[in-house]
Amino acid sequence: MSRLAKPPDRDVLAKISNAIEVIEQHFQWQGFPSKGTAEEDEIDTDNSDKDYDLDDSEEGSDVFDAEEIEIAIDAFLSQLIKNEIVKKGKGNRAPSMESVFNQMFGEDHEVAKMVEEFEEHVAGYFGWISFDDMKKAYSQLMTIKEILAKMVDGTNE
Amino acid sequence: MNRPIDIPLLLEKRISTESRELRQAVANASQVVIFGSTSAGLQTSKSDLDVFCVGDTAFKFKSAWLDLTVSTRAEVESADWLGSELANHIGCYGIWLRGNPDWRDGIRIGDHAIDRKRRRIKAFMRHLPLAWDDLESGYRAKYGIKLRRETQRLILLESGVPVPPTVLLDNLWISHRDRCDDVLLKLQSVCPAGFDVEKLINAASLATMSAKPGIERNVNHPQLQRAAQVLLGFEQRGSFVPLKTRPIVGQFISDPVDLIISVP
Repeated sequence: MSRLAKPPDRDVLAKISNAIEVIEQHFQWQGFPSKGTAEEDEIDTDNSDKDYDLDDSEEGSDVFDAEEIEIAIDAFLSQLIKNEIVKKGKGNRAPSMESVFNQMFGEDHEVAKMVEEFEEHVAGYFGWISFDDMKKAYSQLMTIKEILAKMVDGTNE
Repeated sequence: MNRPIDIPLLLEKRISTESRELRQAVANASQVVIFGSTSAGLQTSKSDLDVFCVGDTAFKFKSAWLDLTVSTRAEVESADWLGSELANHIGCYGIWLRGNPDWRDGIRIGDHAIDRKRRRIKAFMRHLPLAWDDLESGYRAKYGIKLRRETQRLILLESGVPVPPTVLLDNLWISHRDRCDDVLLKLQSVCPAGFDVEKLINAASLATMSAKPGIERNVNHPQLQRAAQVLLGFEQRGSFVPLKTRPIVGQFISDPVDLIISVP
């Protein structure tokens, strides 16, 4: 496979950019964007609107469920499939975010590399994602969205 | 039919195409252990090779053919590791190619391993219903399979039984679906009101229907038999169960292997 592919057309780019909002909304629901570190930033640490069980809070409230972001990413990818931007593989195989962007843009494209890093940040450790990793992931997601927007506008070819 | 496999040669082949750093890390490791389906004799030609090493620097590497975890000596001596799901799996099914299994005597399924598994299942079940309608069928199938497997693993951990390779979980589920009510009941217990666990599990069923000839394997590993006993509820009965599964293929499902399990 080519390490740099011809980017999708603007219509497709716009649809991808719109679909990314599914993930963005998840971060916003978690209190992002934030400005400080976990200690400085108190916006998320309440979680009072969430139905957390007591045994889920043992490691403190400045960590996030990796499972939750995984579902948000799959909802994003589902939109791409429903919009026929992405095809499923054999046997109803649902693709990963990294494979979708690698295929669309090529492995060496800045968006594909950023997606790879984003997925590393949200991979978590034993199911938990640290505040700093979430913050970095959110920042990367916004950058990806920005790059896509520029490509749609034709200012980042 | 079980085919003998040259595991050291397989390892050599699998790492030969990887980076010099990775090969060096394996070469310098004080312990090299093969685990997962290969060590249990359940591998197929498409299986990846699971390798655990004790080395100077901890890292993980994963490709389609190789899943390598390197931990430090201090890590493998820690209580957290010795109580973990992975340590208990490796201790039970691992084949040491280099070094001595000196930490194996200290393993015991810890409360942390069980809590982590419970937490993970709960986290999925808390968020999945909210996103269910937005998920395309392939992703619904993915979660159906994932949650079923994780629940099987939780049942085993709670019973003090090390988690076997995934191929056994899949084959037991497919071949003895009617005896796996514990999985549904456990999932239902953490499911938010209004969300049907059957819906979740059934979403995965389409991915398991396609059939290809499987590779026949006689399962005579005592711990595999023990895991089958727990999951099928034969704990009290001491039944003898010849088990030959339908081959299964499809997304996230193990490669087709027909298991014949004799549960004493």
